[in-house]
Amino acid sequence: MKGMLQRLAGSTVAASLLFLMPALLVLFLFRLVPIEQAFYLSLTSWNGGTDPVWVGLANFERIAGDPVFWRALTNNLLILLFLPLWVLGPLVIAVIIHSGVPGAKFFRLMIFLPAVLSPVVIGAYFNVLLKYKGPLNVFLRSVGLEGFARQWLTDPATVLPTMVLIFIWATLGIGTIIYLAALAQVNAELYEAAELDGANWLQRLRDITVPETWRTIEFWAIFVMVSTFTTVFPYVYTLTRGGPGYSTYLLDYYVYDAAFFGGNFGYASAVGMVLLVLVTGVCGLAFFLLRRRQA
Amino acid sequence: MHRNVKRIVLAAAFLAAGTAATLADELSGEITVWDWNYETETWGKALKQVDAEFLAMHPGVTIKHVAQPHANYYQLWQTANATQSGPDVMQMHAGTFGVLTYPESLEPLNDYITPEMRASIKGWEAVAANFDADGTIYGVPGNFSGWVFYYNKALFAQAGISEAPKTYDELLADCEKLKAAGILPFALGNQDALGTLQYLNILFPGNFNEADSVRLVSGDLKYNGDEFKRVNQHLLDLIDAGYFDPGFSSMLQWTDAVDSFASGESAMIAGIASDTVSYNEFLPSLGDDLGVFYAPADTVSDPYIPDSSGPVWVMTNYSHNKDAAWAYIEFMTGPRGAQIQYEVAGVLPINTAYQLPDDAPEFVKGMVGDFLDHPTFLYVSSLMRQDVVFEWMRLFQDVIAGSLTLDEALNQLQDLQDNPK
Repeated sequence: MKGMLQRLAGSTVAASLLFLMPALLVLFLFRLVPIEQAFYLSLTSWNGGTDPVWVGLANFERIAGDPVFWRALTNNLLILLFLPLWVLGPLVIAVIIHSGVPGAKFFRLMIFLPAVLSPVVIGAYFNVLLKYKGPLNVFLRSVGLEGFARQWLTDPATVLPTMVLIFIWATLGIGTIIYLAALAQVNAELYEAAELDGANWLQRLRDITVPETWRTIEFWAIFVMVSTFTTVFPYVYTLTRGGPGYSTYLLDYYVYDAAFFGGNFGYASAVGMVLLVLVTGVCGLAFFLLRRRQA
Repeated sequence: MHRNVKRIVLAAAFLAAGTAATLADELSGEITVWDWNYETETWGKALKQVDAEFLAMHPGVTIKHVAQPHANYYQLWQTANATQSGPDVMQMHAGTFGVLTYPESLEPLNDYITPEMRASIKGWEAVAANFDADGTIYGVPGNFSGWVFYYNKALFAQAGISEAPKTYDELLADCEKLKAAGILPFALGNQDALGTLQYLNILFPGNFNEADSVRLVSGDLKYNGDEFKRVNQHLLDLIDAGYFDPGFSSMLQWTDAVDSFASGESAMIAGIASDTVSYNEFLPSLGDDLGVFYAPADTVSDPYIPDSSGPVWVMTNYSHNKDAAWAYIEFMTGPRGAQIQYEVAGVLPINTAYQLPDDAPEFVKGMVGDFLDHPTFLYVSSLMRQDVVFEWMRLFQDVIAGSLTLDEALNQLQDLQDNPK
């Protein structure tokens, strides 16, 4: 017995398991158990008060014919149309800062600032800024651009793009910092050689920066894609509550709404499971892209 | 002989009273109370005084009073409820907005409610299963509240209007006069879609009597039927006619609209009798210019006042200290509780065992008198199933924005009513 323990203590595998144990325990308790519970609840009808009633796959069948679910999924997919701006915007800013423009450190700080703000604060701020009689519209009217004044957050035509631009603004700083880290790894001689060959800024961006930071771009694109499904809830909650109508209703908000306002935790869990599958699909795409790159 | 019998009866009565008092004093243990007003400046102060007086009466009891945020009050409760770790006593909204959505977790109170309490309080249908005041009761009405139109008499006079409208047609005519005089007829904030819901609540009794109101929400009448469409069309007509601030969809009823009305920028507002958006917020600035009128008549000639009887007070069925919990509810909704809440926070008393003092403002006496003298019934958004209410709020936003026609919206609403998720 003593010998076995000694062998175990000397084993690399055992040591690894020992060190991994706390993290695995946290993962098990706070990831796997909730997912298992949510999966069970997705097969029930449960109002949170009485015992759950087993309904099998009924919740999933209902999702298939639920226009609100499809509307929310459509909104999630519409947000992905902004992906090029979301992915390339921080890259362009990072390139400009990296090129050593005057005040680069100041701009880096300013651009990163939203990243340290709570989404609730950001939501409250833009709620005030974008009111019909709010500062933005007051400014537009004062400079003779009254025609551009809008009900930014309550007009179905403008609300989703406005909200997405707020997400992008809020995550711009993190994206920029990540790209700056990637740019620091690019061999400066490549730029010097390109400049000697007469390459302009756009050509250097296209032919050096993008290829050299491609892996980071991939990572950031996947991160943003996953985020649009899983981390926009606080913005929706504070800015629009999914409205007007269902104009900004997203899947993660639907999970909350179905549970706590619709009073059906079973159905909400089913929507959550579908969301999990979707996000897993996005993650799968990420791994596929990364492995292809490695190959 | 007769005198002896009388003495025996009196002695028995005193003994019973003494026993009751002793029992009252024997209450002990902790009760947890939840509400969303405890930390507010005025009502919270009143609730703290209620607690203090209750504790003085029952020194063996301790109260753990928890102020929960209103915005996600029921979500927090459902979370606690799932493990039966919620409060013993809690404040709730009346009807399906609160108490009647969660009967499986609440204690039926019929056996606790005395005939005197029953007789002195109005609005039991708001806390009764199937809105039947003679059915199972799950809460005790807390105060007179409900939906009313406040109006600015000075602005009405400026537009040449001498008295408040009694019918929907008169309301339309008055709006037109106000608009012609350069006065904004209504204050409305609808960013969270709650503003239009308030207007719906007030207009609704003009087309639905009590029986039809229940028929609508129970499915006998249809949301896409002519009657409900007519109410919605009225509201839409008021909006389309430009009787609201053009920025109403990015304003909030509780703040922006209140400011607009209180400052005299607009002539009317859909408000609440007690609580927020109430006379308490308007009387200081408008004084004698503040007036109130109720649901305007349309196809129903004498509409009920859409009342909420609340917030109401309920007991959870898993409370471990039901005697103390009931004693607290009884005190809170009794004459002394009503008195404290009126005197400290201006909450309109629903318990007639407490009479307003002679020096109460005439406006307040008038409104309480109106609620007592007129038929009242639970307002429609607390009669409707809550998923249907939330759907109406979203769909009506789409209708206002022009993304949906009213017919399409009401068809979708009926579909949800017929096929709940």
